[in-house]
Amino acid sequence: MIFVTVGTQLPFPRLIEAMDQIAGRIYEPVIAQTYVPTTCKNMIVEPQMNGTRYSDVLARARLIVAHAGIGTIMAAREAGIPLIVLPRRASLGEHRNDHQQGTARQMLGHEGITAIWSEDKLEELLHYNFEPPVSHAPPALDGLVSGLRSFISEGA
Amino acid sequence: MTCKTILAVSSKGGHYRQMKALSGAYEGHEVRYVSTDASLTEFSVSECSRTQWWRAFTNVVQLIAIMRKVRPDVVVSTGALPGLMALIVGTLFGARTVWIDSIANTDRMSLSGRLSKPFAQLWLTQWPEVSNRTGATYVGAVL
Repeated sequence: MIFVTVGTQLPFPRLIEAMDQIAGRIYEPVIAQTYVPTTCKNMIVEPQMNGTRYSDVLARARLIVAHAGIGTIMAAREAGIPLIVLPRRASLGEHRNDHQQGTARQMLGHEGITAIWSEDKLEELLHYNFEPPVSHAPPALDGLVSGLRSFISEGA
Repeated sequence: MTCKTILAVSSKGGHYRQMKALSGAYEGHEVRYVSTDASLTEFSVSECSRTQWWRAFTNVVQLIAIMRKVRPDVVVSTGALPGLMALIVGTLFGARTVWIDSIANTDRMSLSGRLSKPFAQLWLTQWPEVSNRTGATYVGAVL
């Protein structure tokens, strides 16, 4: 199963429409979290999911296709499920600014996470067998946790 | 080590997930979570962003009620706008405050992050390049 998700803040019709067309041409079920109610021909749509439902669907996916949101990237990484991200573009009204472009660039070289800049690339990528992302704690997390811990214990 | 009370405030979604990744920092302390989704955390405040900035006033009222109950020693936020309001209210309550800008902000501090500077004793970015450019501290990142 392929899980398509656009996060908790804004719709992302460009990704949803592209995936709905592709879903009509492949033999794999596709479940889409669309943020707003959306009519799709070839995907099972659940506009909003609570945390439990989201984790359940995500854990059963072979592949996740999503916007370049941090919540999605962290969830895919924790569950060890391969992820393809298409960053939102502010010029198309898809977000307030282009920070997802930066996030997607930073994901280059992360195993199991593939960034694309056009929905045209999606269909051929769906046929690959991706390596899962590394799910152990990232090295930079230690620094942030210990920095925060020492600030907390320093205070009177 | 004295046990501190920490109030951890973030919007739902990616901000909350980043906050939860930091839970190891609170071992030995008491941490109470606040988010914009009542099903996620013990306390919740209204969703609010720059397009609905007036809701920030609602956040202030909600955060005052929460802080009167919790009396935090430290307020930590990973954003977004409700987190900024939490640092402002936390300062009024005499708490020490931490801003952790979302790792999504790879090129510059978020708007809430920039506004949080005067209210954050520890003002963090998760990117070394942003640290060089803005003077925010970099000690690590969640990814």
